[in-house]
Amino acid sequence: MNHQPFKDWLLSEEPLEAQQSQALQQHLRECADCRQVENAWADASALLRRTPYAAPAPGFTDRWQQRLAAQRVQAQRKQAWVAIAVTAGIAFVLIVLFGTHVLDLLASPASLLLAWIARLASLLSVYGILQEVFSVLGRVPPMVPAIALFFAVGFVCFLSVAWLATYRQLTTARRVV
Amino acid sequence: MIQIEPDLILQAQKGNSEAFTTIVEAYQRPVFNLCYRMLGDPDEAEDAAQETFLRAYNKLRGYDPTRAFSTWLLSIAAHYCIDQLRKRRLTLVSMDAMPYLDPPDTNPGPEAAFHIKEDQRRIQVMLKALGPQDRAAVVLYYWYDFSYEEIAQQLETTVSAVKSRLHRARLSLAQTWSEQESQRLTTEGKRHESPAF
Ligand SMILES: [Zn+2]
Repeated sequence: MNHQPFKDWLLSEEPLEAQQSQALQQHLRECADCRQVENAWADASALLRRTPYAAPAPGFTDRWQQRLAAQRVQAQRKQAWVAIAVTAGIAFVLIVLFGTHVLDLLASPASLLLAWIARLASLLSVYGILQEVFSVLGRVPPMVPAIALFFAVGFVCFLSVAWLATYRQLTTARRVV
Repeated sequence: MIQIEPDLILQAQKGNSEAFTTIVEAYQRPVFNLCYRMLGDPDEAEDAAQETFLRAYNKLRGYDPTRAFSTWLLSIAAHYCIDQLRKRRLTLVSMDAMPYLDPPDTNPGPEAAFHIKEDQRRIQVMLKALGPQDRAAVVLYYWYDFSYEEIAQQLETTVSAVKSRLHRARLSLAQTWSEQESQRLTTEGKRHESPAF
């Protein structure tokens, strides 16, 4: 016997057409197998429908607040570790950069001293340029939007960094030769 | 499903943790129930419900107020539980552990209490026979009155896939029910056969 459409209809919770319902009733009278599925599903679905929400143990909200507080402490601790790691990284980079200079200094103190003086002088000149730029900007009427100022300063910063990088490359190359 | 003031959610979104605590208070039961029906263990359900609220708190800014808040919250819980079930797969959960059941209005006799407990146990055994996605579909359909469309949205699938999932799940539920029933009858039969002391 083919039970398939009947089992589908039994388990479908959508309303059946009159003809389908009649055919199903007819089949159920003859088929013990489908009758058993019908009864089992009737009981099982009744159980599903009468079972209320399970509730958490009393004090759920208090426990949640504790958990939230614990999460905050953990986040703060994580932040502190990140700060420590970044500081350590910067320190490491500085040691690598200037450690070699210390060695250079021991080897040829005079040339390195000159190079540093040149670097300091260039920094001072950058400072002078920046001062000039800012004094010009200061005189510009406030019609110039803040965003333009921001970009102008950013551009100047970029230029000076590029200039410093180029300068450094040139001096290093000279030292190698 | 409980409805809470939209203003309360707005307050919580602005970082008012007291407002969020009120939300936890209001939704603890539906969220816990979802987790318990999904995971079958009250301790795991407590942990999952707590985690659900923590996640909701952390991503509250991303909540779209045009959606129902309860749907959003239950979606977080359902996804968390499905992930947990996928992770554990083989670990066994004891079915003896019972959730906290509200004291009923009228004090039930020992027999009624036994029936309530028995119902809870049977339902967990029936749900346990279902895969995570089918289980979620059944729980959302029967406890939360979600429509096929809403379940499809939650499980990121199509309406017809949800219908066939539910169909398959109902057959499995009916089968597990029959197995339990025949088991019960044999043990009861044995009890009657065994000589009394
Ligand atoms: Zn049949």
